[in-house]
Amino acid sequence: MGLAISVIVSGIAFGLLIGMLAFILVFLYKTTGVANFAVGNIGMFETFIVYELWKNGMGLWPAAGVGLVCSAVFGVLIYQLVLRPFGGNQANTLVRTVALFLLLAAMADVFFGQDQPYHFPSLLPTGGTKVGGVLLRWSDLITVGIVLVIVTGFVAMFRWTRLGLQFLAVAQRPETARLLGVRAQRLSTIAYMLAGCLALLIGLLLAPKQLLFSQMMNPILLFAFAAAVVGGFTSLGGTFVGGIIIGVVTDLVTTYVGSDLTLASALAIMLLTLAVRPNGLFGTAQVRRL
Amino acid sequence: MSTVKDVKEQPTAGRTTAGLRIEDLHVRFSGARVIDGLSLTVAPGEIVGLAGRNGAGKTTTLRAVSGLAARSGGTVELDGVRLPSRPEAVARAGVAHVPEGRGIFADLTVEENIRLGLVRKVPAEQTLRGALEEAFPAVVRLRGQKAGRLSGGEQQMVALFRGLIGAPKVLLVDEMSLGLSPRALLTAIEALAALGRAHDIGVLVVDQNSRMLHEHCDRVYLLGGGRVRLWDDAGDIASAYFE
Repeated sequence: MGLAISVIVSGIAFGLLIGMLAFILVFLYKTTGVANFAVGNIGMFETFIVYELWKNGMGLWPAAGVGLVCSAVFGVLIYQLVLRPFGGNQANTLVRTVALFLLLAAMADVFFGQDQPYHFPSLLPTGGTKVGGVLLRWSDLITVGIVLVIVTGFVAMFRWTRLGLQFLAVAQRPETARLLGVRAQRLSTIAYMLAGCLALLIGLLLAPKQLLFSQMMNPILLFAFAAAVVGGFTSLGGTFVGGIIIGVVTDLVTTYVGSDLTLASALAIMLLTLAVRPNGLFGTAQVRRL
Repeated sequence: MSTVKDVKEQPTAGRTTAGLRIEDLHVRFSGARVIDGLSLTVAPGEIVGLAGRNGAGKTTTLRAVSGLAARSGGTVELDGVRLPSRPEAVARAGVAHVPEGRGIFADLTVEENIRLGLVRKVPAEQTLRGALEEAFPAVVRLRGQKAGRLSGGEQQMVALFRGLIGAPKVLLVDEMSLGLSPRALLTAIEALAALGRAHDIGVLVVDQNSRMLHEHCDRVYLLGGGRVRLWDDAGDIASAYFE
C-alpha cells in the first residue's frame, strides 16, 4: 500500500509535467491556430544548451538562468523565422512543425550528441521524507509546487490582465479579435516566448530523472498528446487533469504490470475517453451558431 | 422610369475628407469580381444604409473596408487618410466592425466582451460610456453573465456597445436585424442613430430590411452587380430587388 501511494505521488508529479507540455500544445493551438509538434524537442534543445554551459564551467543555476533567456529568444525566433513567414494554410504550418521536430533532433545529434546520453545534474534536492511510512521524494513535491505556481500565474493572467483577455479572445474568435484591434501576430510571438521558457523548464525537470539525449522528449510528447485529447483539445485546464490521469495510470502500470504496456495504457485511456466523451473531459463541441 | 439613380449624378456632400470614403473599390474572390467599382461615403454623425439581396456583396464590402477581405483595387479612406490592409490596424485607425453573426465571445462575460472594445487605446470618454449605458441598460444589468447565455437580441446590444465604447470614427454593422424582434430592432437602430449623431460617429448599416433602413438612415445605397446606387424611394422595392 505504501508503495502504491508513493507511486501515485510520483505519477502525479510526472503527470503535471505531461500536463504542462500538453498545456503548451493547446495554448499554442488556441493562440496561433496550429498545434506545434516540435515543442518537446524545443525543450530538449534548450536543455542541451544549459548542459553545455554547465559542462564548460558555469554554475548550474546561472546556466539555467541564461538558458531561460535563450529559450525566450529561441521561441520568438522559431515563430518569426519558421512559422510566421510563408503564410500558407494550417496543414502547411503543421507539417512545418513536424519538420522542425526532426530538424532539432538532428541538430542536437550533430552539435551535442557525440557521447549521448548524458547524466544531467538535478536542480532539485535529492532524497525525500517519510510521511506515515510512505516515501515522498523532494523532487516530486517541488515539481508539483512549481507547476502549481505556473498554473496560478497563467490563470491570473487570463483573468485579470489585458494581455490575458486578448489571448482568450484570439483563442475563441481570431477574426473578431483582430476587428477589435488585437494584434494577433504579436500575441503569437509572446505565446511562443512563453512556450520556449516552459519547454526548457520541462526539460530541466525531466532530464535528471531519465537521461539527456536527442530523443528524450518523444515518449512524454506522446503522453502529452494523449493528455490534451483526454482533457478535450480546447480546454487549457483540462490538459493538467488529462496529464495527471495519464501520469498516474502509466506509473501504476509500469510498476505493477511492466514497462512494455506503459505507452499502450496511455493510448488506451485516450481511446476510452474518446469512446465515452468524444470531445474529451472538458472540451466543447465545435458548434457554429448564427 | 426608374427612381434608382446612379450615384455619380448626385452632388457630393460638402465635407469630402471627413468620415469614411470608399472610392472605386474592387474585390475579387478567385477571379470573380464580387465588388466592382463601388463608391460611397459616410460622414461623421451620419447613419447610412446599405441594402441588397443575398450574395450581392454587402458583407464583403464591410470586410474589405476593415481588412478581412483583400482589396484588389480602389481606395478606402478615413478622414482623408488611406486605411491600412490589416484588420487590427484598421481597428486602431478608428473603424469598429460588428461582424456577421455579431462576433460575441461566448465564454467571456459581458463585461470582458466590453473591455475588448477598449483594446485599441483611446482616451477614456465618460460621456460616451454614460450614454451607452443609458441606451443599452440590459448590457449593464447582464455585466457579469457569460455572453453565450444571452439571447440574440441581448448579444446584439453587447456587440453594438462594444463597437461604440472605443469611440470609433466609423461603425460598420453587418446584418443589423438578424435575430432581433421588431421592437428590439427599433430600440437598437434608434439608439444607434442618436449616439452616432451625438458623438460624431459615422454608422454604416448593412441589412436586408430595406424599409427599416429607409425609415432610420440619412441615405440608403443599393448594392447590385458589385457597385452601389443611391436608393431614395422607399416604396420602390420591386425595381430594386427584381429588375
